[in-house]
Amino acid sequence: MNDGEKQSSGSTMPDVALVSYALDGYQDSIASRGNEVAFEVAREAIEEVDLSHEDVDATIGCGQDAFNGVTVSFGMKACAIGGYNKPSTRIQNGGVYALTQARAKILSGKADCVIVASEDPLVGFDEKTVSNISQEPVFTRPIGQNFVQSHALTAGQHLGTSDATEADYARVVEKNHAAASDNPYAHRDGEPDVDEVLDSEYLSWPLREAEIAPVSAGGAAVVLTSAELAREVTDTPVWVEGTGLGSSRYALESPETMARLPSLRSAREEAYNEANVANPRSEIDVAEVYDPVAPMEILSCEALGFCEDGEGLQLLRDGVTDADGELPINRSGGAIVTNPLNCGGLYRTAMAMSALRDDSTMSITGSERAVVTGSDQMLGSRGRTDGVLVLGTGAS
Amino acid sequence: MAFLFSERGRVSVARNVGVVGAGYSDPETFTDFREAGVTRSKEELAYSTITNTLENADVDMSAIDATIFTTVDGFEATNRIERTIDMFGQSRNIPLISINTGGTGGGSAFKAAYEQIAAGQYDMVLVYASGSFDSAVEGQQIMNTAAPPLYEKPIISAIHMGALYASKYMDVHDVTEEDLALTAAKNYESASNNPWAHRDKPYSVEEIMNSEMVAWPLRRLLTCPVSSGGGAMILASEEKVRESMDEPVWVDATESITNTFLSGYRTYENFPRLETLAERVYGDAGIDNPESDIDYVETFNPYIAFELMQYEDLGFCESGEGPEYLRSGITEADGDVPWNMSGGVLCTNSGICASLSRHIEVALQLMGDAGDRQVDDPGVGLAHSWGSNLGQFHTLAVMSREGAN
Repeated sequence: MNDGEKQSSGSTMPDVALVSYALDGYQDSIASRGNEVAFEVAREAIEEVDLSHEDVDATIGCGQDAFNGVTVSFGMKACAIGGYNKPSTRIQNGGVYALTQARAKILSGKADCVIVASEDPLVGFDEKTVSNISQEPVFTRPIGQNFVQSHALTAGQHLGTSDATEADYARVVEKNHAAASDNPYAHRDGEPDVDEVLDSEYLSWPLREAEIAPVSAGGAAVVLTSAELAREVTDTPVWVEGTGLGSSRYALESPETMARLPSLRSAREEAYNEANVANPRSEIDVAEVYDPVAPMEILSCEALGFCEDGEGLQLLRDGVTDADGELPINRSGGAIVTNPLNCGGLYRTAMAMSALRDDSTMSITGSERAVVTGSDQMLGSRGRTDGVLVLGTGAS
Repeated sequence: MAFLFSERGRVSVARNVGVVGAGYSDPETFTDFREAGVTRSKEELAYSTITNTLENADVDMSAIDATIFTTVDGFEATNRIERTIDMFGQSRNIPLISINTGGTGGGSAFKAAYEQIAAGQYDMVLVYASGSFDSAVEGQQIMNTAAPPLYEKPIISAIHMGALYASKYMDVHDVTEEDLALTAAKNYESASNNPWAHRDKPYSVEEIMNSEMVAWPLRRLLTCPVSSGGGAMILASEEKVRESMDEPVWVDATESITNTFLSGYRTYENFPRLETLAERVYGDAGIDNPESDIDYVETFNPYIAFELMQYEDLGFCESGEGPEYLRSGITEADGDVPWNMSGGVLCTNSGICASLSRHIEVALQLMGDAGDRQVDDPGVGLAHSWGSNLGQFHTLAVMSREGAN
């Protein structure tokens, strides 16, 4: 699926840049019914680079109807994010897929400036019910499975086949909360330590409440432009060097397969090939990785090639992935701290932009290249659609 | 490689994109939505659709390197149904892109595939449009949640989306009930040649005008049924197209346009956003005069007055002249520009499949694969879709057979 020959086309392509972002949140709920906050962040992101809505050629939404409580929920957002009289579409895979479509729109010559935006209003919303009704209806839905139990099965596999302990999962939580302490957008506050996490109740063995991502309300917008326009509007473009997408089977193959995150690996191969990343551990400076439950951060490090399979634990234990470590993973605190369901991919992309740029408290000095991952949410470990972005400052 | 000049005069490198295959689930699956769910699972429907489409393209599933799925989730009675149907390349972990723009889902998915291939990201993309309606017990309440909550939600269901436009159009232009019935009769006659039509029998103008009134001025037979059935297309890069086709079918242009969510700003006598979109897409495709440059058209016509309005908005005749244009016979099977020889959405409303069906029908016509509904040697075709709150979105696509221009 990722044969080398087709990747050669990437090198001849003109570049696409991320030129600005705007975020609102994150918190338990926001005063919006589906488009007010999307409007605010879209306008802020456009004005940030002195563009107006007239300069936007196309808009792309990334919300899902079940998280918005209405059918065709993009209808109310399309004009709020600048779409009137323009092309618009909605990609429902959690943000990174939408960014990839925006880039394709620019590369295909159909646009110079595209905004991707949405919001998470969370009005009257129960994420575990949505997860359960989204499962396969004959065998899985009736037993009450939701994303927590699905991820717990993968976590159980990980515990049983590696030297991981429950304390390692608690350490992921401690690390991420410490990293988020200076993140103005962080949702969950507090800085729980390993012992406090281990003292809390299981939600679904071996996962505890603090080890499961919250559901965060807010809004996010990211503006992408062609290389020429990027150089006109900003001194700090963040280039999209590579993108990759992948999906995984819903049918249960084996616990081993689930823990390998095959769709993330497939997306990674495609993105790294395009960006010419040969040795991710040394070539990537920072990563914002979707970690809906704590063990997923460890397994994602392996799937992203930051270490050999089975060595993700060691990265964590050695502090390599700490905010001040050699390869910070989730400098923002990750999904364990802040987890907007519609906009997660946009939020993590914005966090990677702030790490690469030197204009915020979240900057990582000297960082030139970042990886962002995103996934649609709520089914759990099966039937995932994963996306990977390789972003760069162009300095290397 | 084609060099495209964007509006700001910048040059980008984009690849040509063609259609290598199009198809549907088996003909018997195009039936009433209430029967469909009990006879076929979503997996069986997808298997049938994809198998038939791969066969039409003469390629194997292993040649597909990304899939785009489109539906309206509420109609499926669950959320993001494609993730639990392992039919879209998940065993190879290829991308599965999910698009939901309401009734324009098929056009939006077609457009997304075009962009991904033109950009050089993927070489061969499967677009799958779900039959959508075969699970929800009652779709109206679900559809109603798409309407703005204060003023429109209390009154709007699907039929009103058609009735508001139809009644205003008739009032402004003195269009008669007979004009609508004549348009419907043309579609029913066409559908009798289409094995994938749900309503597949011809009805006389009198029968149509005697059918029950649903919402003025739309009678039962001026309004689409609720159908089932799936559809798919395969789009590919120029290199892949040339490997599998002697007479390639190219995508000359495709784009969408967006209207306001609140519909109080609209006047309902026509589709002004469609007029604007047509100008843009015709410009991209090099079409100066639609009637002489386009040989075949499929539009979204679930409420039959739309087809007359579309003659006008797509530039085939002047405002208000739709009924006259119909009576001229130009849009009939043996006319200069046959429209909706499938019977359109009026006869087969298979959810979001019906949205992609417009593109499928155009592609099949250009490939010469349209069976009994095939028109004489069309070279350039136009496909349209319409959707979201009171028709907020439109998409258009122009396809052409190589050498046709």
